[in-house]
Amino acid sequence: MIGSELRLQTVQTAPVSLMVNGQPWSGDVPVEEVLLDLIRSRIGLTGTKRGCESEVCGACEVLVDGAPVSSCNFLAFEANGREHTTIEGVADGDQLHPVQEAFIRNVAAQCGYCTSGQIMSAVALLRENTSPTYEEIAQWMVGNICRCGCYPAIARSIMEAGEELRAKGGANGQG
Amino acid sequence: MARDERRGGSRVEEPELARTERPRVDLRSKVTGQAQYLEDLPEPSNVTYAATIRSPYSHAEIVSIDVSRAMALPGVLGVLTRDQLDEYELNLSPEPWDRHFVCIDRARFDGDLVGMIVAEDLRTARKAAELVDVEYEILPPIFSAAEALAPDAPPIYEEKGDNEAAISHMGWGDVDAGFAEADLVVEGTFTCPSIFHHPIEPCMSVIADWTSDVIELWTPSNNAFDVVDMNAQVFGVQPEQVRVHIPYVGGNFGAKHWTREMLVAVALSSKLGRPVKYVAMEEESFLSTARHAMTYKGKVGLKADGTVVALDVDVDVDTGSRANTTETVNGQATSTARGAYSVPNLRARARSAFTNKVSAAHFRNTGKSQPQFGVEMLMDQAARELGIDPIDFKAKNLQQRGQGLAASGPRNSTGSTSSAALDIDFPTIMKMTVEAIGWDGRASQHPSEESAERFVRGRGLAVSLRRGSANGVASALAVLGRDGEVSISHNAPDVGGGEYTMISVVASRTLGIPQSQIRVGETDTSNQLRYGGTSSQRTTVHMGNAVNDACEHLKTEILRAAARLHGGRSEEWQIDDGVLQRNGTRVTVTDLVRALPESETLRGSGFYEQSGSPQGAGGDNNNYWSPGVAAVEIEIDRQSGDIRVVKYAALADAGTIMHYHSARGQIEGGAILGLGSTLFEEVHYAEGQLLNADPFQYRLPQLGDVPEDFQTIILEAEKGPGPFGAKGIANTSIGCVAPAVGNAIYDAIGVRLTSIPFTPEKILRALGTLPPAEE
Repeated sequence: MIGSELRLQTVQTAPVSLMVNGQPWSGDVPVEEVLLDLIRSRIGLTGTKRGCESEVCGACEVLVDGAPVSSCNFLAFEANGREHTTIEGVADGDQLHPVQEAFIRNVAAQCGYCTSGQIMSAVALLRENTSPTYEEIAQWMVGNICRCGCYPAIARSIMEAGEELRAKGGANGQG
Repeated sequence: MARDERRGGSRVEEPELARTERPRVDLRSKVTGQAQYLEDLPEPSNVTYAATIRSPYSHAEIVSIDVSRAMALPGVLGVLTRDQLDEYELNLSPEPWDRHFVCIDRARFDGDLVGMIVAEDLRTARKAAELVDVEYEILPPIFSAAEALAPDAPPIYEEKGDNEAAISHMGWGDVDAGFAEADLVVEGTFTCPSIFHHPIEPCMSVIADWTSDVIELWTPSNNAFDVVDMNAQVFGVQPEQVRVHIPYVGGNFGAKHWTREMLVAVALSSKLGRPVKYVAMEEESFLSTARHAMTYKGKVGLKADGTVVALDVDVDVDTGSRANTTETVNGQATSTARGAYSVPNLRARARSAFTNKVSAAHFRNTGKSQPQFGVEMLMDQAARELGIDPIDFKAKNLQQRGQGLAASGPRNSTGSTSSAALDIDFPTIMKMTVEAIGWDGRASQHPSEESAERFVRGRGLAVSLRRGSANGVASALAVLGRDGEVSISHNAPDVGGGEYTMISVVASRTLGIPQSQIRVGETDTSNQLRYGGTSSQRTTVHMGNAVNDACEHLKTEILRAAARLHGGRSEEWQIDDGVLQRNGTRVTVTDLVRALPESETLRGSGFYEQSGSPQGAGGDNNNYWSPGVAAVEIEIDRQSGDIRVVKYAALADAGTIMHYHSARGQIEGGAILGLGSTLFEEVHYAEGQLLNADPFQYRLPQLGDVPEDFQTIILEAEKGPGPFGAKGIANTSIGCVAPAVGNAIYDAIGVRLTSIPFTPEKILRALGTLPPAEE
């Protein structure tokens, strides 16, 4: 499994207990390990992607206590006691989140590598504001790079998903 | 449509297909995190981890390599540098510049591969790589083609004697006579620096397993058989003994192909008897490839009425430290030198040079965007000097419907100059494009200098014309399963353009079976179905035709089976929406296949070939022309030098659209990729080092750089050679951006910038706010 990447002995580990997509996880992790590796390699959720590892591209974005975070620059032990949502936890079973549905409808993903991060960021935005303007979307999504250039479709998807959430009476309940 | 009204007042109507097409086949898995990329795949058992040893210098003699400290680290399993090469047959090419896959005598770019070291875990491997002691003797580097081609430049490959990597030319008519009859001669030099591909999934990663008699590889690449053939050649095995799996590819743009790192990993796997996994860090990904820097020197002769009578162009091409794409790129630079203009007397020449930079490679619209920038800026300059509005100048001089490449007269070219006839009217499509941004294509009337406002707007127009797609072969297999589903086997990696979706659409339309009953296979060369790779906007035409052919054959088999089992002649049967019909008899395809004997499988194989010289580039492999038009409105802040794109429109002709939102995504995405190189992107070298190979310093376009008012016009004007009349459109938009914005800058401030990216610094220098740059 992917966990063997992390076999190098480390000086120190820390016990970590956290929730990911509503499921508890606990174990010892090296103190220098980042949340990205914990999620991908130890928990086995590979929808969160490794991109720049520099907190620039946003491919590794997850929600920590509801706030968007670049998991490549967030130490795993700091995640102790917190709630996490990854791309695998955005849908409600088979029922996709309106953001996911809009991304499919508008082809707001091409290669798809940045998509998990884009969607996590968009979900977090719509929790704060279900009717963002283009400028507000641009400001919020500044840390999510799409090299395929899906930006027009991404902005359109966020607006449409916001509209759907407004019609349903708010952004709460999912993701 | 309600949703379009919100998009900055969209003035472009979507076709019916936009509302009726099925979702892309890849997107549900991509929006839920289930789609697997290389790093998400389960690892082979007993896998080992690799890290690279790279030169920190752009040019250096390698005096010695000492691996003893590294090998002493517990967990280290093996290493491959020049000192461990003797067991292997490592000739990549007879040419000295491509011969070896690790550095032998010298490192020739900052990041050149000195070796690879393998350990039980990744962190040990990376630590061990740091412990390899390499002694270098630093040599002076060369960072530009002009410097490299200077008569006294030291050769980067001493055996070669000079730095010229390729030369090509294209021409016809009598250029000197053309200039002699010109009333005006306009000259300009336009420069495009190297830029990075920078896919978000790093380049070069691979899992290599040569522990049996088959070399098995998993890697993100646009071309599986390129990987197969390179491994077969290097390791002396048959192509059938190399199996390549390509999972979803996290961005390509020309960057993902076979690599030296891949070959070294295969060699180490054989040596260790264990699979080797090499995962590149982002910083390493920057060292994989870049786009060719080019300098376009153009001179155009014109009559007083604006008619172009002669064009003379020299392009210097910087190929970096290797030459694996140079011939193609150099040929493209030559054949694109005239842009889309009908030039009665042409002389174009391109020369490629080795430099001490990251190896240049294919980049979306390979070799064409850079000369297109040059010619579109030069022609706009000519129009302005003659006082002719850009749109009128273009209408007068652009290639006309029915015209091929060369106007007339004797030809003098390294590539072919025969070509398809243009099937569209540029004046019509230019008008549609400028109107989409609310413009008439006329030059702006500027306020006088004294009354200059802080914010000033300008508008620009640019066109592009490229050959339809590259040459190559495509093969596919369609099999009707006993569950009534049709499986399509192929080897066209989905790099994000919607390749699997296109295959599904073509199969469904050909067979008359719903897309829900079409299964599109993944790229795995064990099926032996050759394909030239997802590149050069060829997949819809090439693979589309192969799938169409396979499905036609399968359909024939299905109709024959229907006639055999249910009577009549096969021609009397039809399939629609998965149901076979004849004279009121209805049988579903699923019921038909279940009634067949178990020994019988219905299948069809398909093939497509587009032949011709890869050098032609508008030449004899050009079976259709692929035009693009862009119009842009920008706003310049005279105080800060910032450029804001206010409105953008892009137009392409898809012939027949296979999947509207995918086609739109390709056009928009190409333009946005082009916008990066127009405004921000440049690979910087100084003092012997590559300075900005990291995500902090290499600025990519963000959502806010793209205007909300972005109009995408996809025509279905004239049928192309693809299935149902489809054409490729993926690379029609990228090359228009830089010249459209450059022309808009002139329109706004009356100054012509001659090099991209158009940074605030260059704007402020042009305005005189800052002093001119020092050479």
